[in-house]
Amino acid sequence: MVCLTILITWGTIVESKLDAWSAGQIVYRSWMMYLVMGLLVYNLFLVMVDRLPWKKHHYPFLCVHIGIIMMIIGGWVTQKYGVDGSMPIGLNAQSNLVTVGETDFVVYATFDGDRYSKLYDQEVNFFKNKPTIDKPYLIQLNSDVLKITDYVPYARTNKKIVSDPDLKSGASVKIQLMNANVKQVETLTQSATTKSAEINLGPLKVYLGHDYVKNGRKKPEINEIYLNKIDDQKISYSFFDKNEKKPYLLGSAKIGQVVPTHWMGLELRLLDYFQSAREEWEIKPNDHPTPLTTAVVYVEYKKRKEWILLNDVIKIFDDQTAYLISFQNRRIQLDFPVKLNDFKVDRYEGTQKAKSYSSQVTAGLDVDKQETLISMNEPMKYKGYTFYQASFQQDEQTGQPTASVLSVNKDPGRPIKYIGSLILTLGILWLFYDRRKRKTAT
Amino acid sequence: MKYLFVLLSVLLSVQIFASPGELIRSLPVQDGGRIKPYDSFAKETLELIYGKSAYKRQSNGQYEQKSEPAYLIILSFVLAPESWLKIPLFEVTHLDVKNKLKLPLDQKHFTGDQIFKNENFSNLIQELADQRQSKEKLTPYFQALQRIENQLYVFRELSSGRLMKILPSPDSDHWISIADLSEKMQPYFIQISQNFAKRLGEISDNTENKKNESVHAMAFDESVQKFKDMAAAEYPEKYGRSSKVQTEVFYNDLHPFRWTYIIYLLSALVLLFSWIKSVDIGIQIAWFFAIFGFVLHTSGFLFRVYLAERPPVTNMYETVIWMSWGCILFSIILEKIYKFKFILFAGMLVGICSMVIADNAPAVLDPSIQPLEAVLRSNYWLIIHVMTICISYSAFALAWSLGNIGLIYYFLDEIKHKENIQKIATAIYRSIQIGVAFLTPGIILGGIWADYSWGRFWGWDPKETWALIALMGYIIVLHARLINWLQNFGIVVSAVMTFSLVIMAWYGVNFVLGAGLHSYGFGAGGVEYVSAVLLLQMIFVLYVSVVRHQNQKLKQKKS
Repeated sequence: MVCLTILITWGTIVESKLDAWSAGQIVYRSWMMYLVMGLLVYNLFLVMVDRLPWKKHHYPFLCVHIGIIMMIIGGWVTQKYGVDGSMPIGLNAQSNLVTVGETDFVVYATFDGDRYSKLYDQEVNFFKNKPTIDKPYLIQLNSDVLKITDYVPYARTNKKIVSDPDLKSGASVKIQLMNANVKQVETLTQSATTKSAEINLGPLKVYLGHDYVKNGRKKPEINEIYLNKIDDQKISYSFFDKNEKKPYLLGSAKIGQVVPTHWMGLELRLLDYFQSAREEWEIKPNDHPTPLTTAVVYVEYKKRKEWILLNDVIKIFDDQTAYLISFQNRRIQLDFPVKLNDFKVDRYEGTQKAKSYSSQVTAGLDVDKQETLISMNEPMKYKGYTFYQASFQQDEQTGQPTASVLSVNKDPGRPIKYIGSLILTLGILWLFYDRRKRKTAT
Repeated sequence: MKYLFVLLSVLLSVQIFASPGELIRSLPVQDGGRIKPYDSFAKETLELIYGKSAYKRQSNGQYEQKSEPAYLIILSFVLAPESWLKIPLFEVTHLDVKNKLKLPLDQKHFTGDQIFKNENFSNLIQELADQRQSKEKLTPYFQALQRIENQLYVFRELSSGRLMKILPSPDSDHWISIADLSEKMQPYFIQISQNFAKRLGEISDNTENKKNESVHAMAFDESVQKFKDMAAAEYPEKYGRSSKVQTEVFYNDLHPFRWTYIIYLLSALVLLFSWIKSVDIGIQIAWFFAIFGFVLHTSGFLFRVYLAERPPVTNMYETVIWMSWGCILFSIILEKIYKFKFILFAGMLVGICSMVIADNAPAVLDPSIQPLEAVLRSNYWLIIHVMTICISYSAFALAWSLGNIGLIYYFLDEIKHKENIQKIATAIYRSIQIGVAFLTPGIILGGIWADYSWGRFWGWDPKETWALIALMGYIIVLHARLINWLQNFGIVVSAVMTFSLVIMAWYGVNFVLGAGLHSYGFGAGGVEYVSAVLLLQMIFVLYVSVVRHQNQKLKQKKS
């Protein structure tokens, strides 16, 4: 018992430094914890056997010990067979996916670009078994090997544009628009050569990779700038005034070149340009988690080396195949969807402080089914799962809620724990009562 | 009992007749998510800015004796903010912050110009914004910055008349502030401010010319009453909901918990006297005071239940009050059974300590009534689970207090007081049993509540885990006593030492670790004091143990 006390004390300290999930991984689900718990059960059991044959005054003591043993067993059942995850649902959308804490590494492959088949799906626990350069995690993809050589549990991330030798990747430009009052820097990246990128800059719009000769102007009623790649050094630019059919300015530019636009004295400067580029993550390890950090893994495939964020997807190619690679939280598919019909936040009068929030949902495929209201402390039970109101996501500008986050849970150990705690509580009260009687008697 | 009621009613009647010029205190104000009397609003606002709920003027760096009530000060901020800018008003206590603002370290209060016009001020605010952006936890340094930011905000909004919301709005939940009053209502508020100016003039007038005192005070009251009547006529339904403000002003005046500890102190002193001198008459008086204090304690508690419309066990302040209430209750019951005298004394000690702390540390233990976090709004389970756990802490606190008395006995003379020590050990054992009998179901109930609202029975959350650690600590003590590993000295020492686990579970998790799902109770401050007390306690235990050990050695040598 002393061991257990010390162990869980350590656990709370770990938790205060890191977070609940890491503490669980390091302490509460470690072999030491199992060992100590096992020993405790064994000990409680032995003490009971030791008192054989049991007399009447042993009953409360037996109750207490049986209660504790049942609660520990119940906890173990929950951990082994229970589901505990979360399910974000957008307003008026539906979902049947429950995200849980376990992580998987998944690879999909495609030959024709349309149909993807799952090539690889394996549970990974990089937190406990960290991959390194010497001991990488390997996945065989046809003739080549995908290597995972590093893992950072808490990383702050930043997007970065890098040149990509693969010419199937789209172009990327970094432009600056400035006059006496305004100075704005923007980056435009095409996700593929066939897709254009665009950005709204108040009175004008800038496009990258849209062929207006072939496909026409996108929005003739406003001022537009079209940028297109020429070669690895130069891009072409075409400036349109609103409602004019023809560009009033045409030309090509290299990095560093400045083009006056004639709009409010604005100048367009080309700060950076890649004819083929992709976005990559730059990471900075952090020693403890914050809401801005995420877990990342470092993957190497042929010459390509980069970080993948948890729940992010990257695309890699070999000669005939394209692969989608993802390091993600496992998502469990329920055999029924949950639809969010409405979401309400009540606030305390005159403040922004939430008083209560509730989701109006329909579970199951039956459209005519009655709606259920899930609110704080008022869960919904459906097909063995329990749905709780956990939190919500809101639009950063308007503060209007956009999605409701439910926590979803299935706990087969629950009855064991409840009966155990009932027995334990009765036992303690009995014990207390019994002692009092005996003490006052003597 | 008869005397009790007489005394109680005398005490209450003193407060019931508010003196003239104070009607404004019960003006309903919407603030912090509820309708409160202007009195509470003023006190809480002054506390944020100045650090205390009453203001003391400074002259030549010295504080004057006389303190001025918050309701006057805050209204004068609203009406004449410019006159306050040159007056040291804003409390800054954090040393680093003072250093960075180049403020004199030996002072506590500074003028608005000193802080907000300081060249480094905007840098510090930027630093705070960056820290928030990074979503890291705010350290005490940043919390101090945050307070300055709040002080500035509150003062600015207050002086522009936007903070004080005194009139219901026809079409929204947000009340209307002084700055936005309709043309119809504005003249009534102007009346108030004019009369207030006159009233202030007469208060600060130190000459003997006090004849007009009540005239101005009455005029002031009258204008407030007119405003209230108009508001009530305009919005009968919304304004009618503010009927509790009167009671709250009364509660603010009564200071039930302050009276409680004073009376407990009396009881403890009488007990101590009769105990040392072995006179029996004292016991009667001590009982009288104890019961009287307990009644007052209970009534203060009930007031809060009525005002907040919920059981007041949702922040540190409220649990301290509830814990000490339980401790007194247990000590009264155990005293009735065993008649050891010192059980009641031990209970009184805990009562006095905790009530004094609760009453005098508003920055750490916030006494204001705040609306509940969304997750806590399921009162039924909350009541049962928090109350059960805190009441078990009461029993442990009683054991701790008894343990310290026991240590003193050991320190004085072990042989001479053998009988008393035996009694103390019995009482401690009992208290710990009571505590365990409450803590175990309390933890389980917490589990059930967590299962019901979060979907898991046990999640190794620090608060849960520490409650379990404390429980195991006490169970270890009980088992060790059962199989005779612990003699009387052992149980006295363990009653004292194991209580530090309770302190950790109760205070430490919220104020030191600051992690986990129970975050709605988190706060900051007082860490150094609590650790100092714990350290002193340990030194005391060690010292007594060493002394006792040496005494025993001496005895062995003699024999």
